[in-house]
Amino acid sequence: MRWHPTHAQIRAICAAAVLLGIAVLLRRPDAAVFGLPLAFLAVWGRYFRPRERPEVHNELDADVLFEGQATTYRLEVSGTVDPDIDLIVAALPRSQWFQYDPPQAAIAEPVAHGAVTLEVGLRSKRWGLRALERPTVVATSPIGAYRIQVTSTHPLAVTTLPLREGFEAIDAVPRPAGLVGLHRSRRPGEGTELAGVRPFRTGDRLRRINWSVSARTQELHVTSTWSDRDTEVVILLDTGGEIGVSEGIDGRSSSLDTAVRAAASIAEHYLRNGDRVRLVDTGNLVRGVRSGSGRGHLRRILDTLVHADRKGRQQDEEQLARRNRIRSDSLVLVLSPLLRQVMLGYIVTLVHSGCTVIAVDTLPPDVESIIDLDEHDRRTWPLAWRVRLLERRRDLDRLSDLGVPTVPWRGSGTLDEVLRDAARLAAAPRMRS
Amino acid sequence: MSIAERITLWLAQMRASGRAVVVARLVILVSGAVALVVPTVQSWDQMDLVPVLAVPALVATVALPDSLAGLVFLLVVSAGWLMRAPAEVGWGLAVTAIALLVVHLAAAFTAQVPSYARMHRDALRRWWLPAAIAVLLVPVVAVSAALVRGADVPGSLLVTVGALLLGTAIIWFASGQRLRRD
Repeated sequence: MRWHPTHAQIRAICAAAVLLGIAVLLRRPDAAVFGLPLAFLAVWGRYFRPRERPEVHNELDADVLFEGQATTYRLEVSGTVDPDIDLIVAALPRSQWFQYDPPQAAIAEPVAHGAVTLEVGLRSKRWGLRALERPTVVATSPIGAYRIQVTSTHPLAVTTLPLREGFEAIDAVPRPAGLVGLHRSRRPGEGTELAGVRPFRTGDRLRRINWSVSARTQELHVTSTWSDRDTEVVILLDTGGEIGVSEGIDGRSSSLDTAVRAAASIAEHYLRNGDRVRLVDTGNLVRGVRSGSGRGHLRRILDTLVHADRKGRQQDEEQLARRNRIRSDSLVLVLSPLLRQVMLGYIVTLVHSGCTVIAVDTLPPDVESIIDLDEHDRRTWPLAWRVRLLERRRDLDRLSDLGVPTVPWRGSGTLDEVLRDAARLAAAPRMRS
Repeated sequence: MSIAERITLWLAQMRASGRAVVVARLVILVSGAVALVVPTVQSWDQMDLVPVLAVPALVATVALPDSLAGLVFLLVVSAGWLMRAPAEVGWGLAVTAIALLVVHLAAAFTAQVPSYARMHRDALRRWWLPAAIAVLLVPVVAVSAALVRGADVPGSLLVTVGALLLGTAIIWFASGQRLRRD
């Protein structure tokens, strides 16, 4: 790649040549008045022509972002820049899922003191793993006489994790197990949640003695607590289709958007509370994450969720049941638009196996009004959706009869009511057949 | 990409144009208009073909500054002047020459960057000196030509050959030619 003359330089040379030729040959001083300044500019441009080819290095301040977070894309001309390079122009190929500053992602910076750095702000609008295409970088010489296209060194990618909004749910899980979590169990034991004050019994620890009550009643009393328990939360992510329009974090969300964001929020909440969380994918997109706990496990789940926008093969009901064996005391949260019979059938299978299942409805509320006029008929499309939603309503009612509550995702507090109901149901005495 | 999509993209880029680029394109338009109007108010009669050819070339230069339209505009206006105007030096000639020069410089500046790029305010830092010298050259050359013509210098063949050699050397150097192989 060499420095090439621009149209401006060719224009100056050609016009000057023609006009000066006419001036000399036809003895026209007016042609010399037109031509000589252009000849001067052509000579100036030629004299200050750069020799060296600049090298550009690109880097990102941060290549892992949360949705809505911004970083800086930096292009730096490294080494000693030829002093005859006047301007460096860079244009980033724009992507739908990034917001740029400047908005057109094109910037021109003059070379000052032998160095130049171009910075473009980059705000990620949707979760996923996205490669940033190489920017077009052009260096020009003074008065725009010569230019060279510079290729940047290596392609960059941004990973956008789907976690943004904080999610909170009440501290109630239907069947707590283990002894390490933060949930209050139904059994007294070592924990932090106050159960009451009772007389001292043999075996009580001395540090549990409540001295003020003991002094007042002249009898030893201890402060009793409920034991802390954890549970296994299984997040079942339906990646079988994307319904609705995805407009990023600032606009409308598709069913897959809602499901992925909800999965991340739920996982973060339960892992923060010391529970074990497992991610199950209905397809083979993200392949799922085994049960685990801690912050490292959250990162594992988030890293897995960013791949959910790929297209892949979906498992049928039998494959789902065979490949994903779920313990009967698990809390299963199904994130799905609940339109596929495979999903509904698998939910029934889970209920029959003894799991507590809560279905989180991710279907966009305005799904009837989303019409692609190239593919859909304006009149029949809403009608078809209405019929389909009626069928779906019937299916959800059947699920409800089986004890599977369905709640639309609303962010924080979505699961409170259903979790309370599920905990109450689990605590009630049962008749075994 | 279809023509409709191209036009849509082009209009979107126009809407997103930066202030520096808009100003530079306006400069092309105004100075081009000056270069077209000044010959028409001279005492001699301008060719009708000049505006017919020059106006589309000017519009094309404004829209596509990094193209040969600018060269066409420069040559058409200059040729129009040289074909009808008497071989005399006057203020009209100087104004037209400066206007053409400004068209060239503004088009060269605009052609460097995409219309939607954000430009640093120091981008013109290395343009002022050559541009000022080139603009000053116009009256200097005009006055010099008038003086030489008025003085009636003998030996015009020698002057012609000298000017021819000088012009050839300038063009040779400006076009990047070398006497020896690389």
